[in-house]
Amino acid sequence: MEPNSQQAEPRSVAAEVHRLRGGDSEAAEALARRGVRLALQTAGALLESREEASDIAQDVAVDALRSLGKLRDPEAFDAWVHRITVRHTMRRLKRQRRAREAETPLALLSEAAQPSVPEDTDPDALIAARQTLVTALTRLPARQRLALALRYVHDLSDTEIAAALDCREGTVHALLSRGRRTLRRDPQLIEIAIEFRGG
Amino acid sequence: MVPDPDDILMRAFLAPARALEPSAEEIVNVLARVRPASRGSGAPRRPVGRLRTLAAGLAALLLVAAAIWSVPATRAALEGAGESVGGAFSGWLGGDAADAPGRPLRSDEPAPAEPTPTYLYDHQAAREPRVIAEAGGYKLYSYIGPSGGLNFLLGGGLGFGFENIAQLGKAPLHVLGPGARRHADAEGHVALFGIAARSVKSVELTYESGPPLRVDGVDGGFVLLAKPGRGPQEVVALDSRGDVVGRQSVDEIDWQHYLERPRG
Repeated sequence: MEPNSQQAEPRSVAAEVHRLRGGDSEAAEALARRGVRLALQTAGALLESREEASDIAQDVAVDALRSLGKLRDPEAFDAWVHRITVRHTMRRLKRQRRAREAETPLALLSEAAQPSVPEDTDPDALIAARQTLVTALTRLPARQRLALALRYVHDLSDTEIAAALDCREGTVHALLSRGRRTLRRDPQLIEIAIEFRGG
Repeated sequence: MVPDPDDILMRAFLAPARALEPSAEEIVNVLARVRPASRGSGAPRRPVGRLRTLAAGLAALLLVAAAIWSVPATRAALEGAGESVGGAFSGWLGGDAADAPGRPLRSDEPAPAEPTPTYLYDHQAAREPRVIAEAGGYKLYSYIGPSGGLNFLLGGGLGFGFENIAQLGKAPLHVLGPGARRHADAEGHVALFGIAARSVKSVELTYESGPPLRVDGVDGGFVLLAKPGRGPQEVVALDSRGDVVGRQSVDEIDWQHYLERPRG
Protein backbone atom coordinates (compact mmCIF):
# COMPACT_ATOMS: atom_id res chain seq x y z
CA MET A 1 0.00 0.00 0.00
CA GLU A 2 1.52 3.30 -0.94
CA PRO A 3 1.67 6.06 1.63
CA ASN A 4 -1.15 8.54 1.47
CA SER A 5 0.50 11.91 1.10
CA GLN A 6 -2.37 13.64 2.91
CA GLN A 7 -1.47 11.85 6.09
CA ALA A 8 2.02 13.35 5.99
CA GLU A 9 0.70 16.80 6.87
CA PRO A 10 2.36 17.63 10.18
CA ARG A 11 -0.18 20.21 11.28
CA SER A 12 -3.94 20.16 11.17
CA VAL A 13 -5.54 21.88 8.24
CA ALA A 14 -7.69 23.91 10.63
CA ALA A 15 -4.55 25.27 12.27
CA GLU A 16 -3.22 26.32 8.90
CA VAL A 17 -6.49 28.04 8.02
CA HIS A 18 -6.39 29.95 11.29
CA ARG A 19 -2.79 30.89 10.68
CA LEU A 20 -3.57 32.16 7.23
CA ARG A 21 -6.41 34.23 8.59
CA GLY A 22 -3.85 35.65 10.98
CA GLY A 23 -1.65 36.63 8.06
CA ASP A 24 0.89 33.80 8.27
CA SER A 25 2.56 33.42 4.87
CA GLU A 26 3.84 29.94 5.71
CA ALA A 27 0.25 28.87 6.19
CA ALA A 28 -0.61 30.30 2.78
CA GLU A 29 2.08 28.13 1.24
CA ALA A 30 1.00 25.05 3.17
CA LEU A 31 -2.62 25.48 2.14
CA ALA A 32 -1.68 26.25 -1.45
CA ARG A 33 0.34 23.03 -1.53
CA ARG A 34 -2.50 21.06 0.02
CA GLY A 35 -5.07 22.50 -2.35
CA VAL A 36 -2.95 21.94 -5.45
CA ARG A 37 -2.17 18.39 -4.39
CA LEU A 38 -5.79 17.41 -3.78
CA ALA A 39 -6.99 18.96 -7.02
CA LEU A 40 -4.04 17.61 -8.98
CA GLN A 41 -4.77 14.08 -7.87
CA THR A 42 -8.46 14.31 -8.75
CA ALA A 43 -7.97 16.01 -12.08
CA GLY A 44 -4.97 13.82 -12.74
CA ALA A 45 -7.11 10.72 -12.60
CA LEU A 46 -9.45 12.06 -15.26
CA LEU A 47 -7.56 14.29 -17.63
CA GLU A 48 -5.17 13.37 -20.34
CA SER A 49 -2.08 15.31 -19.41
CA ARG A 50 -0.38 16.62 -16.32
CA GLU A 51 -0.42 20.09 -17.84
CA GLU A 52 -4.20 20.05 -18.01
CA ALA A 53 -4.46 18.75 -14.48
CA SER A 54 -1.94 21.31 -13.30
CA ASP A 55 -3.92 24.17 -14.84
CA ILE A 56 -7.02 23.05 -13.02
CA ALA A 57 -5.19 22.40 -9.77
CA GLN A 58 -3.72 25.89 -9.73
CA ASP A 59 -7.05 27.50 -10.53
CA VAL A 60 -8.67 25.47 -7.75
CA ALA A 61 -6.04 26.46 -5.18
CA VAL A 62 -6.32 30.13 -6.10
CA ASP A 63 -10.10 30.01 -5.81
CA ALA A 64 -9.93 28.13 -2.51
CA LEU A 65 -7.49 30.58 -0.92
CA ARG A 66 -9.25 33.66 -2.22
CA SER A 67 -12.61 32.49 -0.97
CA LEU A 68 -11.36 31.21 2.37
CA GLY A 69 -13.41 33.85 4.13
CA LYS A 70 -16.54 31.95 3.15
CA LEU A 71 -15.29 28.77 4.78
CA ARG A 72 -16.99 28.63 8.14
CA ASP A 73 -15.48 25.38 9.37
CA PRO A 74 -11.69 25.37 8.96
CA GLU A 75 -11.71 21.59 9.29
CA ALA A 76 -13.68 21.48 6.04
CA PHE A 77 -10.87 22.89 3.92
CA ASP A 78 -10.37 19.63 2.00
CA ALA A 79 -14.08 19.33 1.28
CA TRP A 80 -14.00 22.95 0.11
CA VAL A 81 -11.17 22.12 -2.28
CA HIS A 82 -12.93 19.01 -3.57
CA ARG A 83 -16.03 21.02 -4.32
CA ILE A 84 -14.11 23.65 -6.24
CA THR A 85 -12.20 20.91 -8.04
CA VAL A 86 -15.44 19.32 -9.15
CA ARG A 87 -16.63 22.63 -10.55
CA HIS A 88 -13.46 23.26 -12.52
CA THR A 89 -13.02 19.68 -13.69
CA MET A 90 -16.64 19.38 -14.73
CA ARG A 91 -16.28 22.50 -16.83
CA ARG A 92 -13.18 21.09 -18.47
CA LEU A 93 -14.73 17.68 -19.09
CA LYS A 94 -17.79 19.22 -20.67
CA ARG A 95 -15.54 21.06 -23.07
CA GLN A 96 -14.02 17.73 -23.95
CA ARG A 97 -17.38 16.05 -24.40
CA ARG A 98 -16.46 14.89 -27.80
CA ALA A 99 -14.76 11.64 -26.97
CA ARG A 100 -11.10 11.42 -27.74
CA GLU A 101 -8.66 8.66 -27.32
CA ALA A 102 -6.39 9.28 -24.38
CA GLU A 103 -3.00 9.92 -25.92
CA THR A 104 -0.93 9.83 -22.77
CA PRO A 105 -3.24 9.14 -19.87
CA LEU A 106 -1.93 10.81 -16.79
CA ALA A 107 -2.58 7.75 -14.69
CA LEU A 108 0.18 6.06 -16.66
CA LEU A 109 2.84 8.69 -16.23
CA SER A 110 4.01 7.90 -12.73
CA GLU A 111 5.31 4.43 -12.32
CA ALA A 112 6.97 5.28 -9.01
CA ALA A 113 4.00 4.30 -6.95
CA GLN A 114 3.34 0.65 -7.33
CA PRO A 115 -0.27 -0.28 -6.78
CA SER A 116 -1.30 -3.17 -4.63
CA VAL A 117 -1.55 -5.87 -7.24
CA PRO A 118 0.02 -9.31 -7.14
CA GLU A 119 3.83 -9.21 -7.12
CA ASP A 120 4.13 -11.44 -10.13
CA THR A 121 2.05 -9.09 -12.28
CA ASP A 122 3.58 -8.39 -15.66
CA PRO A 123 4.44 -4.65 -15.73
CA ASP A 124 3.45 -4.39 -19.36
CA ALA A 125 0.10 -5.94 -18.55
CA LEU A 126 -0.37 -3.44 -15.74
CA ILE A 127 0.36 -0.48 -18.00
CA ALA A 128 -2.01 -1.86 -20.59
CA ALA A 129 -4.64 -2.34 -17.92
CA ARG A 130 -4.35 1.23 -16.74
CA GLN A 131 -4.50 2.46 -20.30
CA THR A 132 -7.67 0.52 -20.79
CA LEU A 133 -9.20 1.78 -17.57
CA VAL A 134 -8.45 5.43 -18.26
CA THR A 135 -9.77 5.11 -21.78
CA ALA A 136 -12.88 3.47 -20.39
CA LEU A 137 -13.25 6.24 -17.82
CA THR A 138 -13.26 8.87 -20.55
CA ARG A 139 -16.40 7.27 -21.93
CA LEU A 140 -18.32 7.75 -18.71
CA PRO A 141 -20.45 10.83 -17.95
CA ALA A 142 -18.49 13.54 -16.16
CA ARG A 143 -20.24 13.14 -12.81
CA GLN A 144 -19.67 9.39 -12.76
CA ARG A 145 -16.00 9.92 -13.51
CA LEU A 146 -15.68 12.48 -10.76
CA ALA A 147 -17.49 10.28 -8.28
CA LEU A 148 -15.19 7.37 -9.10
CA ALA A 149 -12.08 9.56 -8.85
CA LEU A 150 -13.11 10.99 -5.49
CA ARG A 151 -13.80 7.50 -4.18
CA TYR A 152 -10.74 5.69 -5.52
CA VAL A 153 -8.16 8.46 -5.46
CA HIS A 154 -9.12 10.18 -2.18
CA ASP A 155 -11.09 7.39 -0.51
CA LEU A 156 -13.97 9.76 0.19
CA SER A 157 -17.19 8.45 1.70
CA ASP A 158 -20.56 8.78 -0.03
CA THR A 159 -21.33 11.72 2.26
CA GLU A 160 -18.12 13.51 1.35
CA ILE A 161 -18.60 12.87 -2.36
CA ALA A 162 -22.16 14.15 -2.09
CA ALA A 163 -20.86 17.36 -0.56
CA ALA A 164 -18.31 17.76 -3.34
CA LEU A 165 -20.81 17.05 -6.11
CA ASP A 166 -23.59 18.98 -4.37
CA CYS A 167 -26.03 16.10 -4.58
CA ARG A 168 -27.70 13.54 -2.33
CA GLU A 169 -25.89 10.51 -0.98
CA GLY A 170 -28.30 8.30 -2.89
CA THR A 171 -27.23 9.98 -6.10
CA VAL A 172 -23.60 9.26 -5.26
CA HIS A 173 -24.44 5.63 -4.71
CA ALA A 174 -26.15 5.55 -8.10
CA LEU A 175 -23.27 7.33 -9.84
CA LEU A 176 -20.73 4.92 -8.42
CA SER A 177 -22.87 1.87 -9.18
CA ARG A 178 -23.53 2.93 -12.75
CA GLY A 179 -19.89 3.83 -13.29
CA ARG A 180 -18.66 0.49 -11.98
CA ARG A 181 -21.35 -1.39 -13.89
CA THR A 182 -20.35 0.28 -17.14
CA LEU A 183 -16.71 -0.50 -16.49
CA ARG A 184 -17.54 -4.11 -15.65
CA ARG A 185 -19.25 -4.47 -19.03
CA ASP A 186 -16.21 -3.26 -20.90
CA PRO A 187 -14.89 -6.39 -22.65
CA GLN A 188 -11.29 -5.35 -22.28
CA LEU A 189 -11.70 -4.59 -18.59
CA ILE A 190 -13.38 -7.96 -18.06
CA GLU A 191 -10.30 -9.65 -19.46
CA ILE A 192 -8.07 -7.57 -17.25
CA ALA A 193 -10.16 -8.21 -14.17
CA ILE A 194 -10.00 -11.93 -14.76
CA GLU A 195 -6.26 -11.74 -15.24
CA PHE A 196 -5.60 -9.67 -12.10
CA ARG A 197 -7.94 -11.68 -9.94
CA GLY A 198 -6.13 -14.77 -11.00
CA GLY A 199 -9.38 -16.17 -12.21
CA MET B 1 -15.38 -6.68 5.62
CA VAL B 2 -13.92 -8.28 2.49
CA PRO B 3 -12.92 -5.64 -0.06
CA ASP B 4 -14.74 -5.71 -3.36
CA PRO B 5 -12.36 -6.98 -6.08
CA ASP B 6 -13.53 -4.16 -8.33
CA ASP B 7 -12.56 -1.68 -5.63
CA ILE B 8 -9.10 -3.17 -5.36
CA LEU B 9 -8.57 -2.94 -9.09
CA MET B 10 -9.88 0.62 -9.32
CA ARG B 11 -7.60 1.73 -6.53
CA ALA B 12 -4.66 -0.06 -8.04
CA PHE B 13 -5.13 1.45 -11.47
CA LEU B 14 -5.54 4.96 -10.11
CA ALA B 15 -2.59 4.71 -7.73
CA PRO B 16 -0.35 6.92 -9.88
CA ALA B 17 -2.88 9.74 -9.64
CA ARG B 18 -2.75 9.45 -5.85
CA ALA B 19 1.01 9.80 -6.00
CA LEU B 20 0.96 13.12 -7.85
CA GLU B 21 2.67 15.93 -5.97
CA PRO B 22 2.67 19.61 -6.83
CA SER B 23 5.84 21.17 -8.15
CA ALA B 24 7.48 24.20 -6.55
CA GLU B 25 6.63 26.21 -9.64
CA GLU B 26 2.94 25.42 -9.27
CA ILE B 27 2.93 26.59 -5.66
CA VAL B 28 4.78 29.78 -6.53
CA ASN B 29 2.28 30.48 -9.30
CA VAL B 30 -0.66 30.01 -6.95
CA LEU B 31 0.81 32.24 -4.25
CA ALA B 32 1.63 34.93 -6.79
CA ARG B 33 -1.97 34.93 -8.00
CA VAL B 34 -3.45 34.87 -4.51
CA ARG B 35 -1.36 37.49 -2.76
CA PRO B 36 -2.65 40.60 -4.52
CA ALA B 37 -6.19 39.67 -3.55
CA SER B 38 -5.48 38.01 -0.23
CA ARG B 39 -5.71 41.05 1.99
CA GLY B 40 -9.14 41.11 3.44
CA SER B 41 -10.44 38.20 1.40
CA GLY B 42 -8.83 35.47 3.47
CA ALA B 43 -10.35 36.74 6.67
CA PRO B 44 -13.83 35.76 7.68
CA ARG B 45 -16.55 38.13 6.65
CA ARG B 46 -17.58 40.41 9.39
CA PRO B 47 -20.59 42.66 9.52
CA VAL B 48 -20.01 45.83 7.57
CA GLY B 49 -20.36 48.14 10.53
CA ARG B 50 -17.67 46.46 12.56
CA LEU B 51 -15.43 46.09 9.56
CA ARG B 52 -15.76 49.75 8.74
CA THR B 53 -15.04 50.73 12.31
CA LEU B 54 -12.03 48.48 12.52
CA ALA B 55 -10.69 49.60 9.16
CA ALA B 56 -11.03 53.25 10.11
CA GLY B 57 -9.24 52.62 13.38
CA LEU B 58 -6.47 50.72 11.68
CA ALA B 59 -5.95 53.39 9.08
CA ALA B 60 -5.84 56.14 11.67
CA LEU B 61 -3.37 54.26 13.80
CA LEU B 62 -1.08 53.04 11.08
CA LEU B 63 1.48 55.85 11.37
CA VAL B 64 1.34 55.96 15.15
CA ALA B 65 1.69 52.21 15.34
CA ALA B 66 4.75 52.24 13.11
CA ALA B 67 6.48 54.59 15.52
CA ILE B 68 5.42 52.77 18.67
CA TRP B 69 6.15 49.26 17.48
CA SER B 70 9.45 49.98 15.76
CA VAL B 71 11.06 49.28 19.14
CA PRO B 72 10.44 46.24 21.33
CA ALA B 73 7.19 46.48 23.21
CA THR B 74 7.63 47.40 26.84
CA ARG B 75 5.04 48.30 29.38
CA ALA B 76 6.64 51.72 29.85
CA ALA B 77 6.24 52.44 26.17
CA LEU B 78 2.61 51.56 26.47
CA GLU B 79 1.81 53.69 29.47
CA GLY B 80 -1.76 54.81 29.22
CA ALA B 81 -2.61 52.10 26.72
CA GLY B 82 -4.75 50.41 29.35
CA GLU B 83 -7.68 52.43 28.09
CA SER B 84 -7.64 50.65 24.75
CA VAL B 85 -8.17 47.03 23.89
CA GLY B 86 -4.53 46.75 22.89
CA GLY B 87 -3.43 47.69 26.39
CA ALA B 88 -5.03 44.58 27.79
CA PHE B 89 -2.76 42.40 25.67
CA SER B 90 0.40 44.48 25.27
CA GLY B 91 2.16 43.22 28.40
CA TRP B 92 1.53 39.63 27.44
CA LEU B 93 2.76 40.13 23.88
CA GLY B 94 5.74 42.00 25.28
CA GLY B 95 6.78 38.87 27.14
CA ASP B 96 5.11 39.33 30.51
CA ALA B 97 2.94 36.25 30.84
CA ALA B 98 1.87 37.32 34.33
CA ASP B 99 0.13 40.30 32.75
CA ALA B 100 -1.93 38.20 30.37
CA PRO B 101 -5.71 38.43 30.59
CA GLY B 102 -7.79 35.40 31.47
CA ARG B 103 -6.27 32.10 32.48
CA PRO B 104 -4.01 29.53 30.82
CA LEU B 105 -5.73 26.84 28.77
CA ARG B 106 -5.88 23.65 30.76
CA SER B 107 -5.20 20.21 29.39
CA ASP B 108 -8.54 19.16 30.87
CA GLU B 109 -10.76 22.07 29.89
CA PRO B 110 -14.13 21.47 31.52
CA ALA B 111 -17.16 20.84 29.31
CA PRO B 112 -16.88 23.32 26.46
CA ALA B 113 -20.04 23.89 24.41
CA GLU B 114 -17.86 23.30 21.36
CA PRO B 115 -14.81 21.00 21.29
CA THR B 116 -11.56 22.76 22.04
CA PRO B 117 -9.52 22.77 18.81
CA THR B 118 -6.61 20.39 19.22
CA TYR B 119 -4.11 22.73 17.64
CA LEU B 120 -4.38 24.97 20.70
CA TYR B 121 -2.33 22.27 22.41
CA ASP B 122 0.31 22.36 19.69
CA HIS B 123 2.94 24.66 21.17
CA GLN B 124 4.40 25.41 17.77
CA ALA B 125 1.05 26.47 16.38
CA ALA B 126 -0.32 28.25 19.44
CA ARG B 127 2.01 29.67 22.06
CA GLU B 128 0.65 30.33 25.54
CA PRO B 129 -2.98 29.53 24.77
CA ARG B 130 -5.40 31.13 27.19
CA VAL B 131 -9.08 31.30 27.90
CA ILE B 132 -9.89 34.98 27.94
CA ALA B 133 -13.56 34.65 28.78
CA GLU B 134 -16.25 32.00 29.00
CA ALA B 135 -19.97 31.66 29.53
CA GLY B 136 -22.36 28.79 29.15
CA GLY B 137 -19.54 26.54 28.02
CA TYR B 138 -18.51 28.91 25.21
CA LYS B 139 -14.93 30.05 25.46
CA LEU B 140 -12.97 32.87 23.93
CA TYR B 141 -9.44 31.60 23.41
CA SER B 142 -6.36 33.64 22.69
CA TYR B 143 -2.86 32.61 21.78
CA ILE B 144 0.34 33.97 20.32
CA GLY B 145 0.91 32.70 16.81
CA PRO B 146 4.15 31.37 15.35
CA SER B 147 5.03 34.78 13.94
CA GLY B 148 4.26 36.57 17.23
CA GLY B 149 0.80 37.81 16.29
CA LEU B 150 -2.19 37.86 18.59
CA ASN B 151 -4.93 35.42 17.75
CA PHE B 152 -8.44 34.93 19.03
CA LEU B 153 -10.59 31.90 18.58
CA LEU B 154 -14.33 32.21 19.09
CA GLY B 155 -15.52 28.95 20.54
CA GLY B 156 -14.49 25.98 18.46
CA GLY B 157 -14.25 27.51 15.03
CA LEU B 158 -13.95 31.08 13.88
CA GLY B 159 -10.58 32.77 14.35
CA PHE B 160 -9.23 36.30 14.13
CA GLY B 161 -5.59 37.26 13.90
CA PHE B 162 -3.80 40.55 14.51
CA GLU B 163 -0.19 41.00 13.52
CA ASN B 164 0.41 43.45 16.33
CA ILE B 165 -1.29 45.39 19.09
CA ALA B 166 -1.68 48.47 16.93
CA GLN B 167 -4.15 46.64 14.74
CA LEU B 168 -6.52 46.43 17.67
CA GLY B 169 -6.99 50.18 17.56
CA LYS B 170 -7.80 52.67 20.29
CA ALA B 171 -11.31 51.62 21.14
CA PRO B 172 -12.01 50.26 24.63
CA LEU B 173 -13.85 47.26 23.20
CA HIS B 174 -14.16 45.24 20.05
CA VAL B 175 -17.03 42.90 19.46
CA LEU B 176 -15.43 40.10 17.47
CA GLY B 177 -18.80 38.63 16.63
CA PRO B 178 -20.71 35.39 17.05
CA GLY B 179 -18.78 32.18 16.60
CA ALA B 180 -19.03 29.66 13.81
CA ARG B 181 -22.40 28.25 14.85
CA ARG B 182 -25.16 28.95 12.38
CA HIS B 183 -28.05 28.53 14.73
CA ALA B 184 -28.95 29.37 18.29
CA ASP B 185 -28.20 26.57 20.72
CA ALA B 186 -30.78 24.49 22.58
CA GLU B 187 -31.17 27.25 25.16
CA GLY B 188 -31.82 29.80 22.42
CA HIS B 189 -28.44 31.48 22.92
CA VAL B 190 -25.92 32.78 20.45
CA ALA B 191 -22.49 33.37 21.96
CA LEU B 192 -21.22 36.86 21.20
CA PHE B 193 -17.49 37.26 21.73
CA GLY B 194 -15.46 40.39 22.34
CA ILE B 195 -12.30 41.86 23.80
CA ALA B 196 -12.04 44.87 26.06
CA ALA B 197 -9.59 47.30 27.64
CA ARG B 198 -8.34 46.72 31.16
CA SER B 199 -10.48 49.58 32.38
CA VAL B 200 -13.60 47.74 31.30
CA LYS B 201 -14.96 45.75 34.22
CA SER B 202 -18.47 44.99 32.96
CA VAL B 203 -20.29 44.81 29.66
CA GLU B 204 -23.97 45.02 28.90
CA LEU B 205 -25.81 43.80 25.85
CA THR B 206 -28.86 45.93 25.22
CA TYR B 207 -31.96 44.70 23.42
CA GLU B 208 -34.76 46.33 21.48
CA SER B 209 -36.77 46.10 24.66
CA GLY B 210 -36.43 44.72 28.13
CA PRO B 211 -33.46 44.60 30.45
CA PRO B 212 -29.92 44.28 29.15
CA LEU B 213 -27.74 41.26 29.69
CA ARG B 214 -24.88 42.19 32.01
CA VAL B 215 -21.58 40.41 32.55
CA ASP B 216 -19.26 41.50 35.38
CA GLY B 217 -15.68 40.60 36.10
CA VAL B 218 -14.45 41.30 32.58
CA ASP B 219 -10.72 40.73 32.23
CA GLY B 220 -9.70 41.49 28.68
CA GLY B 221 -12.60 39.70 27.04
CA PHE B 222 -16.21 38.66 27.31
CA VAL B 223 -18.73 36.13 26.10
CA LEU B 224 -22.34 37.24 26.05
CA LEU B 225 -25.12 34.68 25.68
CA ALA B 226 -27.30 36.75 23.41
CA LYS B 227 -30.96 36.03 22.77
CA PRO B 228 -31.33 36.66 19.03
CA GLY B 229 -35.11 36.83 19.22
CA ARG B 230 -34.92 39.90 21.47
CA GLY B 231 -33.09 41.99 18.88
CA PRO B 232 -29.64 42.70 20.35
CA GLN B 233 -28.69 46.35 19.83
CA GLU B 234 -25.28 47.23 21.23
CA VAL B 235 -22.58 46.20 23.65
CA VAL B 236 -21.83 48.81 26.28
CA ALA B 237 -18.52 48.82 28.17
CA LEU B 238 -18.51 49.99 31.80
CA ASP B 239 -15.62 50.78 34.11
CA SER B 240 -15.35 49.96 37.82
CA ARG B 241 -17.58 52.93 38.73
CA GLY B 242 -20.24 51.89 36.27
CA ASP B 243 -19.47 54.71 33.88
CA VAL B 244 -19.84 53.99 30.20
CA VAL B 245 -16.40 53.97 28.56
CA GLY B 246 -17.36 52.63 25.17
CA ARG B 247 -20.09 51.08 23.11
CA GLN B 248 -20.40 49.17 19.85
CA SER B 249 -23.47 48.47 17.79
CA VAL B 250 -24.38 44.86 17.05
CA ASP B 251 -27.72 45.42 15.36
CA GLU B 252 -26.17 45.00 11.91
CA ILE B 253 -25.66 41.32 12.68
CA ASP B 254 -28.33 39.20 11.00
CA TRP B 255 -29.80 37.84 14.24
CA GLN B 256 -32.86 36.40 12.52
CA HIS B 257 -30.56 34.01 10.70
CA TYR B 258 -29.76 32.33 14.03
CA LEU B 259 -33.43 31.67 14.69
CA GLU B 260 -33.92 29.57 11.59
CA ARG B 261 -34.22 25.90 12.33
CA PRO B 262 -31.27 23.79 11.29
CA ARG B 263 -31.98 21.80 8.15
CA GLY B 264 -32.11 18.08 8.53
